Amino acid sequence: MQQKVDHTALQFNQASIITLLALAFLFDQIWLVALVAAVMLVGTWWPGAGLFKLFYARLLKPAGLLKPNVMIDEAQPHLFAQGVGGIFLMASLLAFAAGSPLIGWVLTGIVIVLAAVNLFLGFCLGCFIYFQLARRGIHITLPGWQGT
Amino acid sequence: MILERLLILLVAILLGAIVLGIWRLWLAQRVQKLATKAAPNELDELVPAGPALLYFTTEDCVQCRLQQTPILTQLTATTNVAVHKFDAVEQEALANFFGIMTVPTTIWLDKMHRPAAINHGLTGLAQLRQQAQAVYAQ
Repeated sequence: MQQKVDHTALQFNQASIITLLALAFLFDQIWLVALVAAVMLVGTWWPGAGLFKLFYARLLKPAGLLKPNVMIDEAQPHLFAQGVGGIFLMASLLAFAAGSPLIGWVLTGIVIVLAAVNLFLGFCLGCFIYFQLARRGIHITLPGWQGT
Repeated sequence: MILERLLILLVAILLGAIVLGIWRLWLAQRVQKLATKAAPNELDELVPAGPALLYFTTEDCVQCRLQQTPILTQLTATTNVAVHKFDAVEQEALANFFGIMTVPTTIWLDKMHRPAAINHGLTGLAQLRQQAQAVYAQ
């Protein structure tokens, strides 16, 4: 059976990540980086529990503020990409904790740039890595990804 | 402090926009240059006269199979676009001529078989429809 993915949910997720991380940098609020990291990692482990996607699915979509754009697609590469982003943010938090704010913000910046490239140019680096790994027989999956 | 960080953000956005602009300009110029070059003989042998969409893929391209092919199926179901699928590895001459950097890549040819647009990477249905209108309107 062909899988379907709502690309508006993905785009809202990316836009939320970019906005919150940019605000975190602007106002020097590391807790916001931690919040986004937690949302990304929880959303990767349990796709149904992604806060930004829930906000879209429970509020914005029913209110008609955003229209769904359901396409034939595979959810796993997008979840993998989100997980990689979450790991980068965790690394940035470690850098902040270790007293290296420059490294912390550079790592956060990488996540912002990659999310922006995905949102505005439609190129998902994490998905690309996922496909390249799959080509080499490395299939990454998590228990929560079954049935997504 | 905030002003300094705002400035950094603005400069980063500006730099990103400049890089993107240069990249798009380079791609557009490449398409224009290709239109003036003689295409390999295989092109006319494999693609009948008239506008066409070339779809470069490879046997192991998962993104092609799961994403680009269904999009092209939707395109052909709603338009009379002629899509010609090529294996980028097997059709090396064509792939080299068009400068295939990644798969999937889709290339619009006008009625004279000159490249009108090249999409590197996955391309959505809306963009392909828009390009089809421009190519078929010529």
